[in-house]
Amino acid sequence: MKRLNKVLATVLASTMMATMVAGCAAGSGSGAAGGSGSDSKVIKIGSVHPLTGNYAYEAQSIINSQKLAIEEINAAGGITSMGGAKLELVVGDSQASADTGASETERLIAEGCSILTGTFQSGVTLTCMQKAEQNEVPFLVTVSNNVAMFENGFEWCFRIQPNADVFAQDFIEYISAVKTDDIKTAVLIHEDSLTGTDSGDIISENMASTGIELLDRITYSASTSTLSTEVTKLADLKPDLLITIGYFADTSLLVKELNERGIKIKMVCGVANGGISDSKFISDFGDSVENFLDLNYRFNPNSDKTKALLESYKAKYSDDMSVHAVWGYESIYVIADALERAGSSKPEDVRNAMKSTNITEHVLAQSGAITFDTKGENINAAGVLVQIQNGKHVVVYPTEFAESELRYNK
Amino acid sequence: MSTARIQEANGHAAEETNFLGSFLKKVTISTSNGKLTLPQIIIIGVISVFILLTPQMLSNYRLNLVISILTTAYFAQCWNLMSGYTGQFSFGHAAFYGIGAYTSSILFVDFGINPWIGLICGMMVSGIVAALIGYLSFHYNLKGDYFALATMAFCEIFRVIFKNTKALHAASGVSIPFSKKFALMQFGSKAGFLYVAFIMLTMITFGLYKIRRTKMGLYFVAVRENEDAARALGINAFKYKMIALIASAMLSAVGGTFYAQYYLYIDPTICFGNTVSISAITPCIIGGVGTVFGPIIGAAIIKPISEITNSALSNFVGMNMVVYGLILVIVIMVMPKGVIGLVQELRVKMGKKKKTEG
Repeated sequence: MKRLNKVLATVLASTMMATMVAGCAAGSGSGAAGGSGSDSKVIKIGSVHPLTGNYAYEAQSIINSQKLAIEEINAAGGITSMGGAKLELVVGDSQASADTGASETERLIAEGCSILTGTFQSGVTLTCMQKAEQNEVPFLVTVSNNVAMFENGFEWCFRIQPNADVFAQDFIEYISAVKTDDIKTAVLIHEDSLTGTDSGDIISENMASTGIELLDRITYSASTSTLSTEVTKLADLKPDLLITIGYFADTSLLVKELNERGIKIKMVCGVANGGISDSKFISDFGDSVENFLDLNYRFNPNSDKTKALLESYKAKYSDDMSVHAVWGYESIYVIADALERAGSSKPEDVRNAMKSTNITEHVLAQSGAITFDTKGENINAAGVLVQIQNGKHVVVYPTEFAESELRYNK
Repeated sequence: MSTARIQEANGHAAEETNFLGSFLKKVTISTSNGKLTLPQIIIIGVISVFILLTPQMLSNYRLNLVISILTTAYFAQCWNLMSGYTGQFSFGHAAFYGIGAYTSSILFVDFGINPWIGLICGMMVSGIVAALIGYLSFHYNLKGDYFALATMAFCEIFRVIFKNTKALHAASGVSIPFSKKFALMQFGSKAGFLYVAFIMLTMITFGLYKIRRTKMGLYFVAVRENEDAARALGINAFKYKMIALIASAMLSAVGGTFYAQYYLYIDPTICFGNTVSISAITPCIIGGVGTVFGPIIGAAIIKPISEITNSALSNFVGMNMVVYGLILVIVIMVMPKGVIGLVQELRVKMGKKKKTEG
């Protein structure tokens, strides 16, 4: 009996030890490859996005565009102030979960990343930002529009894209400008996570100022598999304007449900909608989404730089570049610019250089340079009104960026 | 038909189709009542010392992994106390975890109440909620699958409530300011968190080890193995199920508060999501349901595997999940009773050999 106990104990111990050693060994291997930053010829940029799960398509398009930007920069000679140092993207998968995101953030920091980018979902982004702050490594948000996350007094975090406040205020302003007299009532439908709720709050508070009556506000969970109940409610209300805030999958469900029941609405307008602004959305739904509007962040359609970018993205990945992908692309250029000025890849130097960013030549649809306020937010961030016309996304408002006139449903 | 009869009939039907119940029977191991032997104690001691020394040896990222092993093992132990010992399979342990996390965080952020006090409050609230859920479920004699579904539903109710109530920060979640003060339950360095997690795990494991050798522990197991027989012998099954549930819920709340203080941000999905409940169950199944060390071994196996697949396969999108899933499937196929079950089977086999030799 005693001997058996010994056998049991040895097996137990060896299993535990083996797994732990395996864990440590894997770590030390990658740690060594990371090196100590400043003298190495390779500068690592971390990228944490939900590559598996509901947002895999969007996340992959962001990573693609980041890789494209890095290729362009490396081909043009890398970071010249550091002897032509090359950039390298280190990818982490948040699996759409906060604690996986946090541990991936820690891993990328351990692998020697000078700066991190991410993460598409506000809840995950916030957890990752907390980790970046604690480890004193700068974090540049690619996509996440929650307002509150930049109210925490973080010193290492930056964001180029407009936040939910800006989106909602721009929406109120633009819709007042473009609405016609026969649009009298509206229903707001949005997914119930941070992303949808933030803008939803501001819109429902300020809707009165547009002269349109808000009949109801319907919320749903983005991971839902049907929106049948919600659409039934919607059909009863018969609004002239439907405002929708959501991601790709749930907005697709919404449109499917509307189409199946043959519900026609005079004006459908998304606010930072991951579906309406996606080219895959048009190929999925064809004519039925013609004239849909979306207030969203976007590349500047009238700049030559953008045209070249769209072409090279399509050539490389044989897919149209999504609006989210633009932020992956631009984020790499903002980082490269900071590295160039810092002449160092030490996280602290990069952070300090980021603070004085002033990029006038960019691909974004915003008037003015990319430059950060004390909180780390892009001061000139703005949204534009995009419409689906003849199976293509065109900017229709403000006129500075407009490619075409806004079309109304009869 | 009288309602009593219908209930009785339902009860029988439930027992026949009780999938989780039969699954649980399959995966639990008959509890041997042996004390730890000297070599076992020595090995546990060596591993403990090794863990306590990790802050001196490992990078911050590796420490993060050790901490997540410890906290996962802790939460799994909480589940084990109730589901492993008394056989009441809970699929909604995230409810208690989330309540713990939310109570301390909201008290701290909105009312400036110290998280240490928040921790106690979280335990209380969680205990009360558990008492309510337990009373409703056990009073109406929910068993097996039905009880599991009920716990899952309660958990989902909490997620929806927290997501839609402004006073509870709704979808925005709670962001806790970063400080390095022990008084604010933030232990400055990774090492601090590691030690606290280690103490939490040691205490609950010691408790589980001790409780198994008491009368109450035997009652728990009796209820798990055959509730009707236990009742016939005069064991108040309702009472012991309630005790296990409430204790488990209160301890889970501690785990929730620890999560909030460590990651500094919580929202309804992070706290009440299904993945949280599942994260309590997997280590137990891998290691051995209803055993003292099973959940720890389970956590020490699955956490590193998921980390390794994540970092090794980061260039092949989605492959990490495929490989992780495959490993889990193989582990469960090879060892349906977990690591400890496999070891015990080997022991039995070797014992037989010895007998035939002798």
